[in-house]
Amino acid sequence: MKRHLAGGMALGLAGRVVALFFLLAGCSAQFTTSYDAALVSGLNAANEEALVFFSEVSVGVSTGRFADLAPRYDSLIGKFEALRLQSKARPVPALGLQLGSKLPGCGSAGECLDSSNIALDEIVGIFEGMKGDNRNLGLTAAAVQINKAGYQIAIEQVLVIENALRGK
Amino acid sequence: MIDIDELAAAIVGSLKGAVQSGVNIATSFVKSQTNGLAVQAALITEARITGQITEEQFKRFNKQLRALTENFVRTLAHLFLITLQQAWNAVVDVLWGGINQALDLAGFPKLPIPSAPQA
Repeated sequence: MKRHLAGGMALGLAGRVVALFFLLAGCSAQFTTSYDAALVSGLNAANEEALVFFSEVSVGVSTGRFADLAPRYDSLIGKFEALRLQSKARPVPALGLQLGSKLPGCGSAGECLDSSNIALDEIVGIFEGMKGDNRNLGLTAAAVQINKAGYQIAIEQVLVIENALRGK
Repeated sequence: MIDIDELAAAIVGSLKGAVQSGVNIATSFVKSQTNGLAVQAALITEARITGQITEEQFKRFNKQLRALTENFVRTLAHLFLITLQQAWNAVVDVLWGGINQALDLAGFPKLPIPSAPQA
């Protein structure tokens, strides 16, 4: 048997329902940063550049190649650093930080909401490390492979969040 | 009139959809990351044993691996908060949709969905 509320009583009852919802916090909520289409576009472009670069140096690079490759490292470092700053500039709702501080794995200050910024920081570190190694001692194929694998773990951590944010 | 049974079914459907979507994303993310981190650990160890990387590189890569593992956990928690937000707002949308439909039919103006106060 379907249950209905009589139309004539709608306002009184709707008023009570509204009150109930305020009690149950029936308000739309924002716990996280907002989706940023420009940031995602930048991430995709930088990711493509990074993967092309890894492919080119996959067999390893000598110190002799550093002069040619230096601008490539600088381009990647600059792009990912800019993306990190862009990501970090997004406001984080205080409500999210409070909730996050109660969530296991999020950190006592809601640090999990910073996960993309931290991953982008690691990516900058990877390319800075590669640049230094290329200059000082060259990179073996294995070293390039390790850097690439680390990069892929980090970029996935960024992209999964951005894709999830777009879902809302 | 508000049909409570229909509204309840719509809420559950919306909630299931939002939660399932979040669970799907998280599951494939966990699989990919745990595999990636395990492979990375093996690559680093192998490269050290075969002399393909220096001791300094070995320490740096391990430090990076630790940082990436910690951030994997953070990212998972972050995903959970996003799913929670989406599920919450999906329910609120359905509820207010039901309320406003009833008010509209009764000739009253619709109400905007209120936002949670900024803490």
